[in-house]
Amino acid sequence: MSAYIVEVEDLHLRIRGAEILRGVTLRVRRNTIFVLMGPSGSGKSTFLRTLNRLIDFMDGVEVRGSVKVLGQDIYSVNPYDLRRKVVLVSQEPNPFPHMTIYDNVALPARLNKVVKSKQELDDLVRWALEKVMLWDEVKNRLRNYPHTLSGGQRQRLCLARALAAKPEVLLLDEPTANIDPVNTIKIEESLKSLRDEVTVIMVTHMPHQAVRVADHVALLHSGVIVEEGPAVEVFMNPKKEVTNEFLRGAL
Amino acid sequence: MYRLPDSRRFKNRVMLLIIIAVSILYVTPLISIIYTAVEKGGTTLVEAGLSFLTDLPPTPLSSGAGGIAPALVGSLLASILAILISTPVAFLMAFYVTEFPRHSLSRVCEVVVRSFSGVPSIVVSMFVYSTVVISMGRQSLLAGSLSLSIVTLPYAYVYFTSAFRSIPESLREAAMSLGMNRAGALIHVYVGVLRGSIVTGLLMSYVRAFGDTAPLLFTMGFLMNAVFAGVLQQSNAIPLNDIRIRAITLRELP
Repeated sequence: MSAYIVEVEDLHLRIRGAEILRGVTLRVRRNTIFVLMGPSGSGKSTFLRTLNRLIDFMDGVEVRGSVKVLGQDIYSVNPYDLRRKVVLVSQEPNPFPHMTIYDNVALPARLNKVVKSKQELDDLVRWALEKVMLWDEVKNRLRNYPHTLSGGQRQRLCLARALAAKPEVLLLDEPTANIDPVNTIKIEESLKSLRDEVTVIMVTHMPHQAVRVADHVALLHSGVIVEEGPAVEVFMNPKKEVTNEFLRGAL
Repeated sequence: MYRLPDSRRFKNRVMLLIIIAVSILYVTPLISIIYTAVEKGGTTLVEAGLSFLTDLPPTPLSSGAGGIAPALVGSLLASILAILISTPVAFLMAFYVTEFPRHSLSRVCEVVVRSFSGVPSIVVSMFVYSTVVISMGRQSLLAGSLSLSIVTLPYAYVYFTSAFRSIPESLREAAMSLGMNRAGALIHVYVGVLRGSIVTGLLMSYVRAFGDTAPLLFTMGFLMNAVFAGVLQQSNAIPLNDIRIRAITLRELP
């Protein structure tokens, strides 16, 4: 089994003729937190959505290059199977409003048949909510609906929902962009504890967040990977001036 | 304190009076209709009692006011059957058009619905007569329901399309991100999110079907001697009786 769970080679992506990604090459090790950072509009979210082929739902998309997840070319596998193993959590909290807190978390487990009994499902829901530090806040109101939660709690609920699917890779698109600092810290702490269970690829435009959570980072600027490496190295000794500017907040 | 100039206050009062007068003019016919219906219909209902709803219509030899049971049951059943036929079709068409807006089948759906909505309902009735009634050899509740379903389909389709388009993109992405295919997203997410809209769409289609007359003229028949004779047999409907009463009334006028 390869040490790399995601391998991207010379990825070019155009949307309606506009080139968004220009020859992106990177590899992500298993059970690490890989942070793709970069200024707004650099193509980070587009890259993330390419990994699980959510980009297929957009019109006018042209993809060239190789993207392998779990050792397989993503265009040679069923996209729905791919998305069950490579789950994305969006920037905007989006729990299903018509389902209770319990059912939101339980749904992917039921769909993916990762549990065999009601007890296993209950245990999985509890595990997922504990992992995102939400269990104590909602354990007495699992039958309530998500609108009773705060924005930060809803985002953690979405993270729990993604974890309940038992994915191999978790894609996080600026998961704390719209939430308060307290919930941001909780999510970041949750991510660090998830390393053993899942590989995390997170996108952020906030360098200080990358500093706090990342094992490995890459800087994406104008569709190109400018620099990548272990987080400590990149933050302490950036090799490129663009990286330096980004870390100083000048980009 | 600022005080409006007199000319503006005068204009304001004049416009207010005009609006009130137009509103009264607008509402008066409606109140008159409701009053007449309640006065005359209420008198009959009080005299006849609940049997007005459960009895057969009067015959020349019968005494008493009789009832509207065949028409009532026919209208209820025809409307229910119509929405059972049209609503799922409209719902699935709306889903398909929303999910695959550029597919050629979506364009076909749009053309079909626009064509249906532009056809006068009497023409729909004649079409169903020439195809279904003639093939079956008789008018029937089924033919009437088919006619009503063709008329209600465009309304339901437009309503459901609007409902599907109102689903936030974030929810679609959430469903797809978890590995659901489109059918799975429809069943597990969209139907739940749209359940209020689905109920409203059903009710709107039902009301539309219940009150429509022209689609039933050549298709439903005019059953008088039984409450219900079967789906493949003639039936009756309240709007048809209204037409008949008006026709009789007109004949009796000097």
